[in-house]
Amino acid sequence: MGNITLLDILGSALIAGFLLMIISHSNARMNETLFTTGNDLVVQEELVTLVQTIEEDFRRLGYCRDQMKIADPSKALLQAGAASISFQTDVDNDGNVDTLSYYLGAVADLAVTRNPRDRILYRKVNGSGPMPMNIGLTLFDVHYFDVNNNSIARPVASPSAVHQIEIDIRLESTAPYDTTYSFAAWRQLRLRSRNLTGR
Amino acid sequence: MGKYSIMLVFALVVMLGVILPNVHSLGNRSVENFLNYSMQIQSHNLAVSGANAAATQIYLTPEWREGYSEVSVNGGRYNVSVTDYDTNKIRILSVGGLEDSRDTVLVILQGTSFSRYAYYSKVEGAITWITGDTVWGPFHTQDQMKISGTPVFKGKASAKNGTNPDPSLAIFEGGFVKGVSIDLPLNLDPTEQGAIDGGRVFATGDLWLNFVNNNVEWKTAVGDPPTVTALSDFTANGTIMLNAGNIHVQGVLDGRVTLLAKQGGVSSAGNIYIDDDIRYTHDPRTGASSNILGLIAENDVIITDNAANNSSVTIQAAIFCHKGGLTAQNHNSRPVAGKINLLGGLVQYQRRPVGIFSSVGGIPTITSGFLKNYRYDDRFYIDAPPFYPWTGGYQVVTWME
Repeated sequence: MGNITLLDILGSALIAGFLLMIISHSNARMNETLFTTGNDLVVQEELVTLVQTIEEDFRRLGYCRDQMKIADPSKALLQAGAASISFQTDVDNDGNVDTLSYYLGAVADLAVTRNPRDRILYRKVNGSGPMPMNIGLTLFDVHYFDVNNNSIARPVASPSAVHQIEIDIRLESTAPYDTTYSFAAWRQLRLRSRNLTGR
Repeated sequence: MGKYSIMLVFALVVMLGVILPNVHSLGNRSVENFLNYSMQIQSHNLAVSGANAAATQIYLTPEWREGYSEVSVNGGRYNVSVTDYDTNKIRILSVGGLEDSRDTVLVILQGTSFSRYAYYSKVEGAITWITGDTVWGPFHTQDQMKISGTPVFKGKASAKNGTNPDPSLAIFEGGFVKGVSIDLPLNLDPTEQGAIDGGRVFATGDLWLNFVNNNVEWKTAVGDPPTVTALSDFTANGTIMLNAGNIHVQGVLDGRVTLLAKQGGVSSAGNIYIDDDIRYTHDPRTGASSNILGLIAENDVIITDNAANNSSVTIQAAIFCHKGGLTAQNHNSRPVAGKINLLGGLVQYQRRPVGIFSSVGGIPTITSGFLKNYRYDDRFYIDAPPFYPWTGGYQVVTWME
């Protein structure tokens, strides 16, 4: 009888140990899943928000409600660099020409985050202060193509030669789970503003 | 011990029950987020497709205004309305939709004036575009472009009969299209009607015009003293027509004017003579300017052989020669006269000579007449002098997405 009781106790302890291990492991895995899925969602939502703003702005490159104010839209692209761009547009659709700039900040601007690669993408309208678009951006790469789809060296010496633009964006989470950062990437293939070359 | 095991199992179930829905919720939101973006893009693409389809239809049939209703494409749909807008403009409103997502594209088309061309010719003749030639602004010829070397065309270029050779080494920075036909109008009736309706019409004989800002000094006989009239009194809508004679023009213009010289059955008539510089009061290259001039000759626009024009001549205007071209009087016997500084555009039936060159030590050197310095006036992309001839087609002037 005594032996049976002892076996019961040992068996129960063994099963309890397994259960505790399973719970502990499950807990760790679920925490990881919860954290990374949450990070993924945040990064993806930030990317979509950023991309929607960028797409809307870039599609209006060279646009002005009062078309006489940008008579020659091929001159609307003012500066075209690898990680910066400046162009004329009508941001608020009020018939006045605005100068809109996008540029990537320095890594040091985001020293507060744990991600060593992330930067701020700034959006600047006319002479107003630059507006940070988001955090967690690790890539903002703009490529330019001429009328024959040939790539143009950056910074572009003659912006009026640009007919199409390609944009690559990559966002990462500001903090890793363990050492892994969540990320989301977007590429605009050959964005062509109709105003830029419409005339 | 058994009850503790059950409690542990229960704890595990509770934990899973709380966390797993959260994980699933995050996953669902992620997918929803992507789907919303995807649907928005699809709606946008549908709206763009509708606008493109309508613009193409107007290109093929300029009077088309039917639009499109509930056109199904790729699981979505688009609706397009096409309406006349302002003066000689068309408004295309395209709405694309996929499920609950909507997006709109608004396009304004404008009748294309011949003034939009930096260079247009019906007949190229023996002209060859060579290395060193540069054309700023839109280019079109109804002929074949003869190319030697690497001339540069900065704006959109088109040639009905392509290039020779084909392909050529010409640099078309704004793109090149062959097979496009944009013929000169059969007549100049719209401009003539503009002058009759609200402008100024002279019947026969020559007409001398000297613009002095917003006044005009004018006379109809070379020896007469000029009459000074406010430009707005001289022509209400800016159009001035001479029915059978030649117009002589010079001065500084502050206004919007089109001159039309018709032949009227007189073989020596239908020309516009530029007796001296003709320029704008407000130079569009140095600030906003509404000054605009159109010179329309049924035959030629001619740079007069006189002392004033022997040290370069400045012409700020859109030039249109229905049966002729821009030329210099006595181009092969007049002295070397500097440059033609043209700011505007040149539409001509056929290119005419403005000077004579000879080769000196292998270098082309001018021996009489003018060198050419032609620059495009960017405003002519969408602006035009009053009642200037138009091509019959439309061009996109704004595209709002």
